[in-house]
Amino acid sequence: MNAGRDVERLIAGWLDEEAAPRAPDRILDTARRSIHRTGQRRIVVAWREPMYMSPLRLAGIAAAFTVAMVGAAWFGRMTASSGVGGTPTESARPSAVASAEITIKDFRAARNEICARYAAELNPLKPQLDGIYDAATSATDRAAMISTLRRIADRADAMIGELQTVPVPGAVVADQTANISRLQDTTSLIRQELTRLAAGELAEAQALDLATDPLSRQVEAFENKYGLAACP
Amino acid sequence: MTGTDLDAVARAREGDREAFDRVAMQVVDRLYRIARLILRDTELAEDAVQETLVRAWRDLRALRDPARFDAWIHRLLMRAVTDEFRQVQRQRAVVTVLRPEASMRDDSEAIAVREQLERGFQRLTMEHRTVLVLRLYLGLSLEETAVTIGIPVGTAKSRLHYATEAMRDALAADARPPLQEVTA
Repeated sequence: MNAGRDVERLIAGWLDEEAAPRAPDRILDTARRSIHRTGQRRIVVAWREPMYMSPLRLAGIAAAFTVAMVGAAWFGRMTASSGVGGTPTESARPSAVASAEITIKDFRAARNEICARYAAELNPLKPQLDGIYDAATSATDRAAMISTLRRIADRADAMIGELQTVPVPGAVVADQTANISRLQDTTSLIRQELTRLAAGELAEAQALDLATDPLSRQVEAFENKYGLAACP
Repeated sequence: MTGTDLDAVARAREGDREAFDRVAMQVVDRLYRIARLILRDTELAEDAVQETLVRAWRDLRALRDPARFDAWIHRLLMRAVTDEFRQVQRQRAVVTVLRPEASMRDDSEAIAVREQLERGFQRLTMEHRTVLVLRLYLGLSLEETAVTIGIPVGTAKSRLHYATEAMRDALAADARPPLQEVTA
């Protein structure tokens, strides 16, 4: 036992000496540049497992992704290509409630209250999804994670429903409508992801999760434009 | 052990980039030391740390408790380190062996022990190096080590035992007449 401790002390001392004194500045510089172009993720699963995918599997994922995006567009709710302030297309788009008396300040307060409430409820659930794409995760644990993700999607839909009732100043209506669509597209992708997860198609589920990233960035751009708090 | 500004973590979680920058400055040295020790390569370590910081920013909203930030970012680092290592394996790149930088003034016995440790450590798998670094350099408990890597505690214990024994064997096996001179 003592001999073991001695070896451990020897190794610990050597590791201490071997450790670099400080990181080169270029690490932070490069990371800052990437972070500047990167938005924070929202409802979607935070943890991603690296996994090997064969070309055949990649093709399958691409096909699944295409079907998902085409499906969303077919329902008239696809907004990924429109930037903040873009004009929403017609058809089944959700529409914000325009009100002449409402100021941007009122809108901000009402929206922030909803988002803060749901953030407090949903953000704590996200760490429970760690390892959801990991093939090593047990069936029991994955089932619990899927259940949590489903709950997140359900509550996100409820949040979106509340957001749609918020009175909006006329100048913000188009952006708010587009933003609601993006949030709906996100939960739509998560529901497709749930189906894949339930079928054990982990890589495909992860690909769908990745597909929510551009939507999240657009939602963040909308929030930044009007100084709004982040919705979960 | 770490002194990470938890208030800055909380603000960064709400999307404050300046707060995240402050946090990044506080953790980057530690992350780099850990990555460099495990990977034994400066460039790979730099890439792993950069990737860790970007992932941390991107996924920070998933962190429930700012007080768990250090454990959380260590897990991210382990993932990035593993990714880097796998890439190297795929590319069959030559990994640069780090040289002790402050050994010039040491006596020959200390140099010999260091070289034994270096050789023994180099022969370990990345998984075994990781356990040693987290446990003996970072000072994590076995449970924390297991959580950081994402393995059962029993596996962490087994890896630590194997790695320590392998290092002991390396020291014992190398207890033979040292090289008289090293020529370039």
